[in-house]
Amino acid sequence: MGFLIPCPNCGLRSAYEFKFGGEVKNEPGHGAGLCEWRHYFYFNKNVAGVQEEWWYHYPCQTWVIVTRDTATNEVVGSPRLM
Amino acid sequence: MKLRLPPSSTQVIDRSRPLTIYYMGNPVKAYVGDTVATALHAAGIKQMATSFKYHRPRGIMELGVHATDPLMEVDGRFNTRVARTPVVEGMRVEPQFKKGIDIFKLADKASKALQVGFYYKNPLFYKSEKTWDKARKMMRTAPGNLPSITPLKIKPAFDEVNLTPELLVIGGGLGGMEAALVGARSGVRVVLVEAEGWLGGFHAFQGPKALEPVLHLKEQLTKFSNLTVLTWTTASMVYPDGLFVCIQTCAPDDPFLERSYLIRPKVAIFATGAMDRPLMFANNDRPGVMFTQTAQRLVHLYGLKPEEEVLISGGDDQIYKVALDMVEHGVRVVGVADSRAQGGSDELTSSLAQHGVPIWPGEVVIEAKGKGAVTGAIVGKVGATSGHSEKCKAIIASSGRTPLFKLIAQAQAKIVYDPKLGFHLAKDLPKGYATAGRLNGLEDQEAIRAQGRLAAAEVLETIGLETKTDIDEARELLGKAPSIKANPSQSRSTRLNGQRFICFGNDVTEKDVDQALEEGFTNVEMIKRYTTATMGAEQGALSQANFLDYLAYKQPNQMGSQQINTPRPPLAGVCMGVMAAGHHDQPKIPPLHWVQLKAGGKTIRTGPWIRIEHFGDPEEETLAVHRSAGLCDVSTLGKFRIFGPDAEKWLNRVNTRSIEGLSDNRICYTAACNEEGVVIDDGIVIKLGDDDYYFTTSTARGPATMEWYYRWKEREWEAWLVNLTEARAGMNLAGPASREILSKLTSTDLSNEALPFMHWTKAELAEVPCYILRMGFLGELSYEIHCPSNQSVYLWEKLIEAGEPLGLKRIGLEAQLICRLEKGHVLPGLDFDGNTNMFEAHLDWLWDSSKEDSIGAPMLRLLAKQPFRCEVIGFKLDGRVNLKDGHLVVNGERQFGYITSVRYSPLLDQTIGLALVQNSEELKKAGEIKLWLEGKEVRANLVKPPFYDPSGERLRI
Amino acid sequence: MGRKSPLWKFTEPRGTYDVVVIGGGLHGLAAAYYLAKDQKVKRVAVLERKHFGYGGSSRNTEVYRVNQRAPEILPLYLLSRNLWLELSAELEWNLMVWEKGMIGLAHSDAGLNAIRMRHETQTRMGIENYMLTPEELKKLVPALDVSDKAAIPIVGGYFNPPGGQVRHDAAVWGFLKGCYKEGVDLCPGTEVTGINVTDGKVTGVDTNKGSISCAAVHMAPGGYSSEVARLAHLDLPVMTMPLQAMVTECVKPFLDHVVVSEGYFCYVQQSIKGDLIMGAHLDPWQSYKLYNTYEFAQEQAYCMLQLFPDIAHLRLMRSWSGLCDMTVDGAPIMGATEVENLFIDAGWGYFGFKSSPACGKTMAQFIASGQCPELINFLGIDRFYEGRMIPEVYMVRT
Repeated sequence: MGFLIPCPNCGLRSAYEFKFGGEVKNEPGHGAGLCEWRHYFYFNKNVAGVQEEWWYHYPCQTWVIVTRDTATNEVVGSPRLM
Repeated sequence: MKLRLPPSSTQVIDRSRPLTIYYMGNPVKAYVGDTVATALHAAGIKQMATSFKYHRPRGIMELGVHATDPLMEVDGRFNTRVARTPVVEGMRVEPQFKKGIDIFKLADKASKALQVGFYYKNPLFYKSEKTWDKARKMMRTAPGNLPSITPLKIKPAFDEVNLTPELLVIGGGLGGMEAALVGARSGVRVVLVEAEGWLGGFHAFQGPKALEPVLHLKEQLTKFSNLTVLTWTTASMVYPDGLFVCIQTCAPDDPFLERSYLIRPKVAIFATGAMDRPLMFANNDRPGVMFTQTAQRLVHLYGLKPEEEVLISGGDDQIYKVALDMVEHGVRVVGVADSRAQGGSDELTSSLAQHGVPIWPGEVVIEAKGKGAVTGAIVGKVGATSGHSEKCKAIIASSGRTPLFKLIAQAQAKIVYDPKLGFHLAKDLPKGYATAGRLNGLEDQEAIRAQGRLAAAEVLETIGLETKTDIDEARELLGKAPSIKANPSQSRSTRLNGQRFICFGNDVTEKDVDQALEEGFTNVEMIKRYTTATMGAEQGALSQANFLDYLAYKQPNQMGSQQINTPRPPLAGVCMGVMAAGHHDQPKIPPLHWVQLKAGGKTIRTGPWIRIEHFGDPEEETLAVHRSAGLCDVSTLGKFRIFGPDAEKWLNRVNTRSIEGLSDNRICYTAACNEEGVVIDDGIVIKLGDDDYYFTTSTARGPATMEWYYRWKEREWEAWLVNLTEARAGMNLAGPASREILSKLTSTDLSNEALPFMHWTKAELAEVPCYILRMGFLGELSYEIHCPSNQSVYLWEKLIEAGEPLGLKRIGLEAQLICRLEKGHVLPGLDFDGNTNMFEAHLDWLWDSSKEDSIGAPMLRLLAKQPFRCEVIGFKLDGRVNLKDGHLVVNGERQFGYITSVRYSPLLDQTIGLALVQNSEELKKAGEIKLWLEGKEVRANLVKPPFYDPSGERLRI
Repeated sequence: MGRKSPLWKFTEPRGTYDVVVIGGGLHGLAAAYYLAKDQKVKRVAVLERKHFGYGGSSRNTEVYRVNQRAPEILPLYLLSRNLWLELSAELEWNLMVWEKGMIGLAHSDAGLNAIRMRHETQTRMGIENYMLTPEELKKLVPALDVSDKAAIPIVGGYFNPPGGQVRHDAAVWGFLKGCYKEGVDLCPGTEVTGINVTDGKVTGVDTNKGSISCAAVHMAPGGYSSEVARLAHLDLPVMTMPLQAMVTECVKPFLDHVVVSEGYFCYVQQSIKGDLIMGAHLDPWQSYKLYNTYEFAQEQAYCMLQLFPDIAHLRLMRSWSGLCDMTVDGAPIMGATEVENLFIDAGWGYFGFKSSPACGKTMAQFIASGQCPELINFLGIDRFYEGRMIPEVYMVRT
């Protein structure tokens, strides 16, 4: 186990049971152009600190948004279902 | 056996069970309970190994958990730590060093003149590649003390066990046993791991009186069924999420060689004890130089004298205790050098004096004499460079103790150096962890025991457990304990720094550190790497304390802060085999695997699946498809049911094609792309009923489907997704005779009118309920049959039976690949790269541009107006050409792309293929492409697929 | 023996420079070195938050190779390899370069086909390499199990001679020595806390040791690239992911090449000393924390034993980890940014060590002349906006 991620169904589980879905980002609005969309796809804040991110728990097939401090791998607060 | 002592109550050897091991073929008498090291010691063997760099002779210095040296070959197993290996009848022990001329030994003689890092700085090495090559070869292959990897005659067996106690206690000394008992009494599951084969830790080898509480506690341990004691088990790794990995050396009658215990406790106590801190003096690594604990272990546990005459050097009261132990067991103590000017307490001094043992206050060993082993010592005033010569066969020396914090450090505790005490202590422990005993610098027995109880009570409280321990009493005892004694300072030398070893593992001396500092290495990490101090087999266990101590002494301003080198798992070497013990390959096998295997199917591994590649002649199989019929297993396809009021919405969100208005018997062929508009898969969707659909994905995408679909599901949608991949088998029956074959097994009307191309129906085939999907992936009249997995073998055999008279052949994956290529059917995982969008893939016809919010729609709208970065193109050549997937599309110097799929089609007598190319417009203008084959350009015609039956007539008969 | 003369002296940063390099790893040090030596830039400083080589430069598994998938990037790696071979003599410091060659193993037809494409591409570019059968592989690597007893047997592979090992610490120290000789200021313990931009042009940096004004700033911060770029209000197309590695005890020579399995996604080499250095794939998530996991050790041990069944008794001595700033296309970001005179060399993921000399050389060229060298002109950050991904990574992103 590397670190633990809270699954709303299963409780705190090893990160290896999950797929990491990236940091939560805001989709470009209606009518956005190629550059904006590509910025959205490829560019990240990639913070060394607290961020909201997507995780998918394979055993129970649930996507969840988790707030984690990437510098310590500690999860902050409660996970929320997307 | 002149070193063997009479039996005593503290000994762990079993005199009633003598045995024989063999050293270099010669028998050595030992007892059950001995380690290989103690058995060899009893036989008078002093030099057991040579050091890594200078091949200096080495013997037993340390016997505890960090004794990674000496390393010898035992029963063919190299680098066995003999101090940590119990003897077994018949064991064969061999040294790993070679006798005779050893250039590294010569280097040792020259080491006084050799600089640290000379291999970086020698101009011969950096000026000439040739010289460096030669030197490197020599460094690699010079005869020496390394073992070889040889083919293993017997494959060793390793075990892996998972345990989840509430409380894990590491260390079976007084503190650990007290802690374990508190846990056991509270009713929780407790596991106690102890690296030795016996319990008691330090107090097991201080003499019979000190053993009494050990025996008492040991007896208590046996009373609890919820307490598991694991001996010969070293806790070697701790991970930040609470996993502890403990490696056990298995007993001789255990079928496994080693066992890993993967322990995930709720709370843990670290009572890992303390070892001696090596005393610094010249040649402090000679065989015969040993720690005070080592001498005591030999005497009390194994009934062995360290030597006939020993000299003791140190700076605390313990050396007097050790001296008395020696004297009481008939060992002549030549003298005790106490670095403290005032010497020891009157009580201790006088009891030694009674035995006629000289005591030298304010003095310390300056140098060990003797080449292969200790023959004497120079003892002098602290700080002096000369003194009086004494004859002895062993030097028992220490400069205080080093708490064994490596494990708790791995657990992310802060390890802080206390300059007043002269050693490190663990602070800021993670929640649920506590330390106890000598690890915290304690020496008083009662205090250690009290702290063990207290620590257990505290950690159990964090998981809401009330322990029946009188916490107040324990606290009081602890409070009354004598204050923690500081370590004596090392004696600083001025003349012999080149022979005073800081790191025994890599032969690093004080002089080496001096040089590093002079050369500009100012950071602990850099100095460590440059000198390689602490980077040997012992990974700092014996060396780090003195390394940091010496740096703080040399540069108090810069290095006074005493940061320790980051401790990494493992604590002591853990072998590959035991780490791999729990891993097994788990391939997926389709339900039709065995029936195909029986018929001569040749298997192939594709990702996690084992599939059938062909039945002997894949090209013949393709001809069968075109002429009569072929039957192939497509059970690996992803199959899903999606249903609910919002199922249609969900399907429309994920797929590029519109599912709206899909009638009951039409098949919708669709693609899926990601948000970037890049193709990820293709598949089909059918409507089973109201709000009820069934869809397929490619084999590779199957496992990721749930995750992908759920990612895009709106919270409020009422719909459910079920993975039927393994519940249903799939077969593709393709060829002009397929309708006739199927009709033999069903009364359902399968005529062209009743079931046209791209339509499906439910039907019973040989009474097996199926979905029959008429599609054309392989290019002839064909039906993809989906049935329950547990009836698939029966149906398969029925189909074979019905079809064989009509020319039906079984076909495998390879034949499928050829047939689908003839039709130009792309395989997204094969014919595209991770950046090919729907347009470049020529799958944009599967995109319903009216859909606003399907995944990728915004990008697809934008990409529709963009030039292609790459494109999938088709090509063909006459006859059989030896082109393979991966061959390049070129023109002179330029490279346009590569072939993604190419095969010879026996039907067409052409070599046909698809390629992924850039600058496709240029190629299309030319109408032909050039392929690079065996160093030459080969021309091929550019063809818009399909290569066979372009109008699709054959599919619609 | 007399006192040794210092190989370098570290210093506090001064108030003004021509070029400030942020990041004291190999990419930063190499850039500074070539700026001073090749480009004759007089006042260069390398600012390093911790100590030189703290990041990937001292954590990598010491491999250099010229076997990449994308043809456009091969020349850069080839230049780097050629520089590695010359640097020991140039820096007067033995980098312990050992060109032992890369061996890659395929465990499926798909793997073999991928190798074929790379093989043909490299051959046409004059990069020596061979496709080998299992029997030929066995001759080069006798300890390899090429039988069908392995769970996923080897079906073939490649041998790329221009690849091998460089002692990573020696490389860092060699460049430190070289930088010092060329008059570059080496400033450890210096953290950049701000990048100052006026009218779209960089004017200097703020640090924990005071402000510095300079004409150009070059960012080579490895795993921390995003954090540094953020100081200039720039986002990067990278994600920082951890990579674990481990080393075993020493044994006599039995492995003469770097071996990578494309099927098991792991690799191993034996150093001169005799220990096996091994690693595998990234941990599949973003993290700045350096940690190890037993899962990694288990998987690594399992894969190694599939390839080399006879090392069952070989002991793991130490594991560690480092940070990799990964782009989606597995190729780096090199060149200018939207801020004038603010340059970047990042996104090197787990493959940065091998390219450091070439990156230093080309970026020094760019920074000094203002002209982007052809060797790296397709690696600019704009490619993400323009859809010009480098085809180094094959798989779709979902």
